[in-house]
Amino acid sequence: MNRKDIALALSLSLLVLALSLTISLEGLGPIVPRELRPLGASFVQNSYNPWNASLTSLSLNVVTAIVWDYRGLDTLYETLVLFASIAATLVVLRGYSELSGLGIKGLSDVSKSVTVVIAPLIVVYGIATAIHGHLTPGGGFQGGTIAVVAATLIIAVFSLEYLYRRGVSTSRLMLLRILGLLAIILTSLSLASIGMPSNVNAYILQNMAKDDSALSMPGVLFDTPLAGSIFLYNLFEFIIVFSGLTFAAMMLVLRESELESIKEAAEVYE
Amino acid sequence: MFLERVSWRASKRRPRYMSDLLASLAFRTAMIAFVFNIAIALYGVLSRPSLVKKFLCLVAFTDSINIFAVFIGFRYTPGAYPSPPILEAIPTSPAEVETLINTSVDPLPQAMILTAIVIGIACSIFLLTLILMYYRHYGTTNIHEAEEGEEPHAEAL
Repeated sequence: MNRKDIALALSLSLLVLALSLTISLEGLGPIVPRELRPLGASFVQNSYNPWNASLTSLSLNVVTAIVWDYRGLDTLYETLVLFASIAATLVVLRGYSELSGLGIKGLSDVSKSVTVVIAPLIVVYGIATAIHGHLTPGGGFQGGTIAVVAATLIIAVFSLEYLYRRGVSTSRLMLLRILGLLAIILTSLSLASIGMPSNVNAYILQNMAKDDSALSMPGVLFDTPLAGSIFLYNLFEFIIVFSGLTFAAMMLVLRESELESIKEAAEVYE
Repeated sequence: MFLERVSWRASKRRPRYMSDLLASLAFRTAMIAFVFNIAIALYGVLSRPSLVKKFLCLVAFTDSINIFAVFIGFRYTPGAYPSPPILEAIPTSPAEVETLINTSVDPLPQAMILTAIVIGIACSIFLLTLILMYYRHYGTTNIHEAEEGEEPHAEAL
């Protein structure tokens, strides 16, 4: 028991005491309010509200509407952070090589047969969660992470070798991610680029028509609300998250002989 | 109008009935439990020597704070269940939007936490890669053992 441990214990217990007191005395606002806060209430009111056409996003799911419409720029940067972290992973492991022919072992035949049945179902469920993100609980990120479970399951049960043989390589996944990000950026610029040549008012990241801008993403498909760009963003976010996290999972399970060339690459850069 | 009706201070009155008192007590206990969880996870991050355990504690720390923030967006509707912020009927009427405002929980913390979770995953992936490389270099994830200045394992990368 040295001085450092005592200081740590004291400061942590002070943190717990101070936060608990503040919470108990309702210093952070009423504990479990009965009414919505005004900001949250206005989001709930306007998310699907065809009677207030200049503020609505025609999305039944309010959380998705906030994520991709009202605070769309935040989410764009969040996607870029995910992109950057995987690029950083690539920088740390630069110079790796993908070697096939190291032998497939994997788990038993029973688990392999079960995985063959389950994996496509998981991917389909992920896609459904993503493209219904504006109607039901879900969204692009949630759907993508569900679908990544299938890829991780295949890596664990069949080994990395199986993915290589099926044509899933890290460079292809990287390409898919870049295409997904490009699609998101193009979607956010699409209305502005349509409006600019014909001198019509339009905004970047615009979804529905505004007071001074008649351009609008498609709001309804037959009789189902489509929520315009929210549907497209969810679809592309699904692609980005699925390929990005599968890429990360593959990088984390690279075999030792595939990493032998890392050291030489590091020396070259020094 | 309606924004004036939704008053922040209106809910600050004291609970009057026994069940309200119990609910208030239960919610306070839950919130303080989250605070304890945050502190314990922080202790793990600061004082465990193993990088893997530090990482696990960091994940627990983020998740505790996320649940705490979701809980702040929760709402107590006596006699009814609070509903998720999703409209149910597709040909919607203004009355249904009004009902949703009266029963739904706050959507804003949930949307913020979605962002926080994605950024947390992005950081976790990078940290995991770094820990893996650390292990390959030193042959251990214990930061105190690696500080001794011993030679890195020759056969490891």
